[in-house]
Amino acid sequence: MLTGIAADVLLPSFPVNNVHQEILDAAYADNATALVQLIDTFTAAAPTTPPAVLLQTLLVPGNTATAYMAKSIILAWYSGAWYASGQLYPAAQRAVPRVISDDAYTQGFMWQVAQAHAMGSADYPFGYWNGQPPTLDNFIGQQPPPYTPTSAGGQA
Amino acid sequence: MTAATEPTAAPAYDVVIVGSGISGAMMAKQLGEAGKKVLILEAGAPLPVNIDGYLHTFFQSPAKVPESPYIPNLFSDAATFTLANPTLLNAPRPTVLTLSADSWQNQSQSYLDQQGPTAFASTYERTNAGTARHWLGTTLRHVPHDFAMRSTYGVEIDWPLTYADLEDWYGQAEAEIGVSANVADQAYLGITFPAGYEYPMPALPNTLVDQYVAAAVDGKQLDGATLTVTTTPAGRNSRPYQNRRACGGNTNCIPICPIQAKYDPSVTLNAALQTGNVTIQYQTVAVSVDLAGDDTNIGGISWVQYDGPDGGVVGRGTATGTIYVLAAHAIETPKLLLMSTNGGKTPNGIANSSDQVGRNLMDHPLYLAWGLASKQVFPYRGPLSTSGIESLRDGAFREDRAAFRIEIGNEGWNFPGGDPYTSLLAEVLGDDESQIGTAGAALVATLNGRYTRQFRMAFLVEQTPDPENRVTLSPTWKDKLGLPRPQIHYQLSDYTKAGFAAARQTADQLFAWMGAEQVTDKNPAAGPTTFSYEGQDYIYYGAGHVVGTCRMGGDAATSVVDANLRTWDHPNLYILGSSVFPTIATANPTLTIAALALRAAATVLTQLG
Repeated sequence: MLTGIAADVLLPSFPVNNVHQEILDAAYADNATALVQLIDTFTAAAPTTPPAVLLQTLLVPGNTATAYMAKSIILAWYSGAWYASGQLYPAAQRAVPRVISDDAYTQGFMWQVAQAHAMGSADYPFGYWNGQPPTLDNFIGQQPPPYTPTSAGGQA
Repeated sequence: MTAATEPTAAPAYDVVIVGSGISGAMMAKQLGEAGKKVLILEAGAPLPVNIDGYLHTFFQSPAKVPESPYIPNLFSDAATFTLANPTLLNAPRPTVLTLSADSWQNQSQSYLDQQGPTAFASTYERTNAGTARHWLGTTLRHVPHDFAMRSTYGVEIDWPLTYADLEDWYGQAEAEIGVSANVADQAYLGITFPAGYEYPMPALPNTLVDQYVAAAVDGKQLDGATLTVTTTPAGRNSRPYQNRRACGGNTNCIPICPIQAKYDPSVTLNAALQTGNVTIQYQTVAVSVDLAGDDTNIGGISWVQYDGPDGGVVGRGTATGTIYVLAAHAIETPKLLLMSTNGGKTPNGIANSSDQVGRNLMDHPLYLAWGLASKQVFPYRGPLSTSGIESLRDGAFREDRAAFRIEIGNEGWNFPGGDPYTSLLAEVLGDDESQIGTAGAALVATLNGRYTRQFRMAFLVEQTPDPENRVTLSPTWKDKLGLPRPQIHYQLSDYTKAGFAAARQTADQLFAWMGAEQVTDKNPAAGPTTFSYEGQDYIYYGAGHVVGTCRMGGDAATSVVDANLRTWDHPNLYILGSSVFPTIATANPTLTIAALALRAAATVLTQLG
């Protein structure tokens, strides 16, 4: 939802690494209260809220502890580094990011949305660069269908 | 291991080499295979069993720069981005993180004692296998006129060598490195090959970025040249070679190829050690080149050995050989020569009767142009660079301004703009005031649209030799061993600045032909690497091509070494590496460094008899 990456790509049924847990651990260590608040807000709103509105609920206004946490989590999935959620602003004084793990760097989704690979970690055959990459869906999964609120409370 | 010296004692080795980088390793391998006993003194950390540790350090680093993987670590505390203090390190080296306005003249961060007026913007390593640990892999030959600038265009100086003198040695260097290229692509501007010559491997495939530039540029006329996008010869395998696999396109040649498909000098250094005739002492810094009893030949090289990057001294001694070879890079080599005063017998240093040691420091200052292609070109894939425009490396314009080659980059805006990080942070976090950014599907769409169209071009501008651009000994700043650090004076000449102006005009024309949106910063804030020329502001970057501090020449009065790289002053002392280049020329220097090292090895073998 936050990242724009399909859930089954972020956390496959049979994960080959532990990045999801490492990010959760980093978030919890950073600000457990804000993390719990973010999850609670998401859990309460998700079943009945269209995605665009849900993003609005989580990220606006931008200067709350939960919005900071949401942004740090997005940055973690994309870059593989943890940006301290309480020190994202101002940009000139942003805390030095901490690379979460080798896997978190090499699997970062900023490379995937570029339809590429982390610099220093490709898994393609010789000469792949001479042609077009696979389509974006192959890197980030199929976008989930929009939530459709129903009177019964919609999908979970 | 090394004999404590007595002037009359027999030398312990045939040859003592300072430095295990590409020059030292190539010399050692040639000598070792010929049965000569060789000792290498290497200032930096030992060869690791494999590169896993380097890769892990790179992945974990909060700054992905050329020095990230290597020892000593860039930071004393990475969590707070606290740079290591070179005063507290045994064999420190300059790093790109110490080139900022805040750092470049802060000698608690910058190893170089930079006196300006502008910053010397290139760095080097002091570690096993040397700076080519993190070279790009470009293996261009010089064009013939690069050797003859004075006689052809009336500027700079001529080399005491011609292209013809080096042609066969280029071939041998290409074999040792393992170069992928096609002869038909590389025979331009007078470059020739022996009949039937083939590169060790065929050329690497080009990228979609290359194809995009070529479609718009090939065949266009500019400055008297017909422009062509050419596949760049590369020390990267296009098929298995020397027990190393073919390139996997990891887009990480600098700072480290994760599969060693890119050649680095550890290949040659390991081969040298496997001859059984080559010994290496790591963490051993040469501190003086000592005269023999005849006050003409060299009798030994004194060294100090330390324990770890910030550990204590564990040994001192003097290495003795019949012949001595300095291959310590173009800033450390003159530093060592200048330090070697021999108790006042050589007050200006060893090999310095010409007063040329340390002078004529050069680089290829880079003009960067970057922007968004008019269609998706999918960067961040393939080797960092696979093609360039070489057509403007030579021409009558060299009478008036510096020439350049144009390197096409495959890493988006990583070099000029710090992407993909910069765009990611800007999108997710928004500005400081609203603190509202982008998320979800909109974030994906925005980043995908931007990343997949990014590209950059680097113009490697020729820098003139200037005797006042020089390396001297810092009177103030020392490393942990108490050795003086290099002091640097540096600026660009008008000839070079005119080359920058031509680079900007050329970039603007290329982007117009491509229909690309250029976002080059043409009004950089004043800083250590900016200058103004004819009403325009420019910023330059270092190419890592540190050249020129022990120039070779045909006259002992005006040069440090002769055409065989033997010092004029000392019959048994040689100097290798880019420090001997009289001019920077228009090619990335590594292949010429290697060719000269192999040629000098043959000379040394002849002298040894």
